[in-house]
Amino acid sequence: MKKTKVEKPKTILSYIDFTKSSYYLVEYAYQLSRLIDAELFILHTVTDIKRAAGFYVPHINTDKLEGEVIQAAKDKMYEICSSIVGDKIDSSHRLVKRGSPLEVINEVIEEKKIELLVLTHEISRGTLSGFRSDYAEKFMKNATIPFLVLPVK
Amino acid sequence: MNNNKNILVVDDSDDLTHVIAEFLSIYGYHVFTASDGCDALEWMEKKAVDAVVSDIHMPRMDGFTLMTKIKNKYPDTPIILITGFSVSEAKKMAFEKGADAFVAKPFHLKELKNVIDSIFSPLR
Repeated sequence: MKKTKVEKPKTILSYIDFTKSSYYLVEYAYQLSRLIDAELFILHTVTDIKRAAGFYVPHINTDKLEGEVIQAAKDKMYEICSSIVGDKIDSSHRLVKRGSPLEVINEVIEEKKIELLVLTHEISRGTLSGFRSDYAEKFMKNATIPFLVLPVK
Repeated sequence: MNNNKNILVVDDSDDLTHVIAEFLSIYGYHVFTASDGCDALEWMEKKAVDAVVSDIHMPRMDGFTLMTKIKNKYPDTPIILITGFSVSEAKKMAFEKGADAFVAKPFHLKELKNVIDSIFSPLR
């Protein structure tokens, strides 16, 4: 039988959705990255409104408002990361991207050569849950790299 | 974090309701969306709603009619009206009819969030 060689992951990606468990997730992923000496990226996605709607009826301010959403997400990402680890996760490792979580996670995995994904399966409530829920389960079905799903805290 | 607050956003512009939902969810609000007054009332039968943000000009049932129906059935639910038409007149009418707050379009999302935050402020 051929033996599989397991090596320590050199790059970790943690996907957070700003639910309560995001703080725990960042802390866990950071500690893990220190433990195995890996580079850590934290990712959040914002809904691509035009794609989500399936068609686009231009609203006078939508582009501007989307810019506000992205900035708010960046601020929130900074707040979460800095409250856990200070400035240890710099801006180039705090990623906010537009699109569906699953698609963006896979894009970042390829772009950053990620070797381990860390996430939780907490499901957010509200209209956006339709876009965000079950991303852990969805990723698992066609996983491209090893992943770790943390229990919700 | 506003983890226990459910906000219902009512507007016939899907892209606008999604942007508002996305923004408020960053700050911990749970946002549900409806495309007009009838749709909104159906939501309120099913979900506990802590505040309603509604456009005034919508098909089927406008924001003023929706507000009157909500105030009759759910008198403690705060309502924030938004509009881009005849702002000063709409604002006057909104408060006369019982709106808790009014936001004129175009608005910054932060401005809307601040108004919602203030509705839930214990100092209010």
